[in-house]
Parts: sequence; C-alpha cells; structure tokens
Amino acid sequence: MTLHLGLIALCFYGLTGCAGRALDLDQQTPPSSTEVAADPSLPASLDGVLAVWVDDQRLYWLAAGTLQSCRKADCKHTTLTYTTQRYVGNAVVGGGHVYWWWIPAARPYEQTALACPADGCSTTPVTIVHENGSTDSGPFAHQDYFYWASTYDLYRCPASGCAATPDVVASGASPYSLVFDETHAYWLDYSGGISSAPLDGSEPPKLLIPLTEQGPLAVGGGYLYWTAGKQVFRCTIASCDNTPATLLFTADSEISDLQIDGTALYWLAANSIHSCPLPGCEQSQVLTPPQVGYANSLTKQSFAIDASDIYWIHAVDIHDTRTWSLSRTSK
Amino acid sequence: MAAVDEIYAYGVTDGDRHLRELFRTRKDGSSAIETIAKDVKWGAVTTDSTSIYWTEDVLAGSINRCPLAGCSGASEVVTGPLRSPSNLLIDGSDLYYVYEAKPYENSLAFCSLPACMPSLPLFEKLVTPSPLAMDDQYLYLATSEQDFRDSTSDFSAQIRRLPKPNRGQP
Repeated sequence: MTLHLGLIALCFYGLTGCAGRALDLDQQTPPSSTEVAADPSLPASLDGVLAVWVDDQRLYWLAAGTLQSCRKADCKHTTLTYTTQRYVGNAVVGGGHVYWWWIPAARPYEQTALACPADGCSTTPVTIVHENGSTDSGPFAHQDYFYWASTYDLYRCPASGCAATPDVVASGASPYSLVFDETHAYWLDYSGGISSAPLDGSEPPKLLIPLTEQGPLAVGGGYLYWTAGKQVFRCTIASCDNTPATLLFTADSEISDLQIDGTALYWLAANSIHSCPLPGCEQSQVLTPPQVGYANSLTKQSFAIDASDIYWIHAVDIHDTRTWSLSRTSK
Repeated sequence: MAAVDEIYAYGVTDGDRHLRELFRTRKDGSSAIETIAKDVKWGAVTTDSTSIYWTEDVLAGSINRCPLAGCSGASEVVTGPLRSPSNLLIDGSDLYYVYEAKPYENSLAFCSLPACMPSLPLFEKLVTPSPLAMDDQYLYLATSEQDFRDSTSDFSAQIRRLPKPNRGQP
C-alpha cells in the first residue's frame, strides 16, 4: 500500500477557510470478491437490504420491511424478528433499543415510531411518537433516546415513549446527517452548514461550519469529520467555529458514508469500504471488494463497525438487490 | 393564514421553510411590507389591539405573539408546548385555540390573556382542519364522531355552538 503526500490544501466547498496537508490516497488494489467471500454464517439472499447495524452482542438489518437481528456468535440459530410490517418506513438501532417508523398504507403522511428492546419484543412494541409529517433523514438513536427530523425541528423522545409533545433538540433544524458525542448533537443541515446543540436542547443551535455540500458526518476523539465529494475535512470541536478546517485526505471517488471508532476512520467510496488510522490518516487500506451495496438514502447505513469487525451489505450483483447478503470483514 | 385589523393586513410569507416571515402591510397599499417576526413556522394568525398572535403548527408547537409593530428580538411564547396548534381566535382577553390534545384528534381550549395558563379542552373531536367562529354569546365549531383520516363520501360532521366560558363575566 502506498500513499502520496499531496498538496497543501486549497479548500473550497463553501468553507470559510481551511488549512493543513492534503493526502491523495493511492490505495492498494481492492480485494477481489473471492478474497472476501460471503460469510456463510450470516444472512444471505435478503430481499433489498436497506441498512445494517451492529453492537456488542447483535447484528441488525432492515430488508424489505423486515427488521431482524441475530447474535453475532451464532447468527443462524439466534435470528429474531422485530417487525414484518409491510410499511416499515425506516429504522435505527442504538442504546440497547431498536426503533422503526411504521407508515399506514392509507395514510402515507402519518408515521408512528415504535421501539423494542434489542434482545426482542417480549410484548407489543412501545409507541414512541405519532408524527404528522414525513421525515427527510434518519431516524437516529443515541443513548436512551430516539431522534428524528420533523418538518421544521430536530426532536427526541425517550425509549419509553414521548409525553404529549417531544423534546425540541433544535428548532429550525433540518438535518441531512446527524451524529452525537457525549454532550452534543451535530448535524449537516439541508439549508447548509454543520450545526450543533446540546442533546437536551438546553441551548439554541450554533452554526459551526458553513458549507454548501451535503454528505456524511462523523465525530470522535474531539474532532468533527465531514466530506465534500472526495475530500474529508476535520476540525477540533472546541474551535470549529473560529479556526480553519483541515483537509485530511482526498479519496479516489466520492464518499457516501463515513464512520469512526477509537482508532480509525472508515468510509465508503466506489462500492468499497476503506480505512485509515487516526489521528493522522497517513495510511489507508481497502477493506472490501467493490461489492458494498448502498443503503437507502435515509439511513445511509451501508456498513457497521464493532470492536473487531466491519459488517456490510454484500451486493453479489450490485444491480440485483434480491441477491444481497451480509458480510463480515476483520478491521 | 392571514388577519386584518382596521389599518393593516397580516400574513406569513411562503417559500423555503426556514425563511418564513410574519409581515404586515397597510390595507390601502400606502405602506411597504413590514416584517414583524422572522423564522415563523406554519400556522394561523390573529390580532388584538396591541399584539399579533400566531400558532407554530408543529409537533412541539406553541402560540406566540409580538407587538403589532413587530418584535425587536425573539417572539414571546404565550403558551406551549402544544401538539400542532392550528387555529386561534381572540375575544377580549380570552384566547381560543385548536390543538391536538391526542394524536390526530383536534380539541378546542381557551385561556385568559395575557398570562394564558393552560386549561383542559373545552371540546374534543373537532374536524380537521378546524374552522372556528364566534358572535357575542357563542362559539361555533365543527365536530365529527368519525375519524377524519378515514373520511369517505359519507363522512358527516356537525356544526355546534357552545356558550363562551366567560360569558356574562366582567
């Protein structure tokens, strides 16, 4: 694997300014599909996989209106189903809960958010909230809360369900993508720019980075990461609004998903998952063949990472969603 | 979505959802359009002799007000949060408003201005949208036992009137 240290960055994309070096990643040849064969212990022949999530114990997936999970250690014998309702709008997993929007067929502008514990719905799912309109992104989950973008606002409800009205995290917000750290929510807004607000909405939202592009976000280690086409930028959260952003690297193709763990950054570009070590991202590697299926445009969750592995939507035939399965690759 | 008084007409601009503005203009056309409040969410508008009131018709909504000449800063929240407040009327110091006391079920409530302490609904199961009217003694509203979301050609509603709660009081 080789890397060419590149140019001093000239930054565009509506940034007020940016600095630092740019790394043009000249990556190794992607693994062939035979090198990363479908894992026979994971679900296969799923009809239209829309998203995948993982936590310490379980692997979760949404496929054609069915939301399921299994224990990672023995997936075939531990699969459970949260819902098979035909009109599952979207879903998310987080904080030990599974959430999904249910959209009645005759009332496409109504959505009800339902939830179950991650280890299964022992009773009827908990009703989290009835939403009067449609949503443009998400939903999202963090700690014990369910988050979503309503027509004008970013709301949240506890996993036990909302009172008469939801908590307002940010008024006048319309997130395209949303990430969290321990204290704040960060989102790239459809109206432009990355903003943040305390998780409980106790302060008005603050614009951190003016931007004109929309793409994935990630947060970790005190940094906020975002993409603009093929480029990945970051800033120190404490000073994002008053210091130039750093262009971390430029990938070969447009980046459509970006995730982070304690040691590395992962991204999806040209149907392959790539990674580089943090903090400097000096070396990158291609982790999968170019067979990663794109999740739906709301969840943007084509892959998920845990402590040791990456789980991803494996598109055996990228044009035939009926043949998709789930695969696992070591980080 | 509009209101008038003796001199002005009031309304909310259309366009991008983050750029709605509450404005007024003289009815005789002799003034420019004046902005009263910015970042207003979709709702109904009414006025009294000193203020303009509107509903922030969203899931965690509210009823807000500004002086008739406009707010110098943020608008004042008269009452909230309310689920999807969609209509309002002012009668002296009484404010009547429609909101979803339960999901997808509109109710009529009222409060006394200027404090507007929340109250229990006066009437439930209003049709959607929920027209309101009043005269000196009564409020008029439309109700239905049917779920408006399942409305078919035989959907039926009733026009009701109810005495104003504070009628006869000073």
